[in-house]
Amino acid sequence: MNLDKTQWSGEGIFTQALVDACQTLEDIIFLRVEDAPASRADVEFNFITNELYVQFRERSRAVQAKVFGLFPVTRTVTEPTMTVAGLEQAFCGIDEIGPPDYADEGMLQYLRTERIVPPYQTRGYKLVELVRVYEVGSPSRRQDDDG
Amino acid sequence: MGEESRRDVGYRRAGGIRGAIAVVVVIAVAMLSLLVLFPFAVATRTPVREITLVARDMTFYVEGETTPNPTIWLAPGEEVQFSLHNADPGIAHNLAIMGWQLETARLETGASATFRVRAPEDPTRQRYVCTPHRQMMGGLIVVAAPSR
Repeated sequence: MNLDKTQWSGEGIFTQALVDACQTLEDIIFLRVEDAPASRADVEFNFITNELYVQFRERSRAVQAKVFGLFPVTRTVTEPTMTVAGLEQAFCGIDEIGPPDYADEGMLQYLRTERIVPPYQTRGYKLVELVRVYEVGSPSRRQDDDG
Repeated sequence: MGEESRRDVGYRRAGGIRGAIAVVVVIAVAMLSLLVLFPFAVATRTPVREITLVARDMTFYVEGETTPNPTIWLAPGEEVQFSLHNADPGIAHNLAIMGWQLETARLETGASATFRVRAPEDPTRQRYVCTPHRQMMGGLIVVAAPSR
């Protein structure tokens, strides 16, 4: 699998888990990870938001058809071996990932929240990680896309 | 008897006509009053400012702007209509100004809600938040004179 991390800062433990999970799936041939611009931090929280774009392996198969409804021909159809829904099923079977918090036909969304209390501190901060997974070529749902 | 009953009918007819005239006069006066007073009513009505917040990526944005959780400035006594549109897929959000006891319901993706508020006359600051995500979704409302 080709992995493009050039637009990712590397922040996000769950994002890394998703990347690792994608690397175990044979139906994914390309994965691009990006920082989303909504990431930000304050005294009380650290909000990490990343986006993953996956490209599925394609297979060709012969389909019988008729030209003008009369002449039988064989056409070759190329189709992906997995869909976003199939990817959701695959993630559900991986303990570290599990089912997404939200899914529609073009996106899987994971929201992970954790309280981090550094050594010698009592209060700590909230770590929120929002990860969206799309198929390559799908439009992103992030804020700056609305212009 | 016949003479009296004819007179009664006459009185009733006269009373009915007087009543109808009174109704017409009242309606005419009311319409005239509306015509005369309506322009004044429109002219003296202060405009309501509309502020639409969009919840997206666990953040509030003023519609059409890109500053996350922006500070909202209001003039003293200004009447404002706040609207919240939830554009965050799969995450419910609301808008609450706790100091003013204002809060929308929790909105599912794609839903909107509105409330109206008149800013106090004295300068003040209030925090607006999304109640379930208050640590990261919130900003300030500052009521101050426009010459800030």
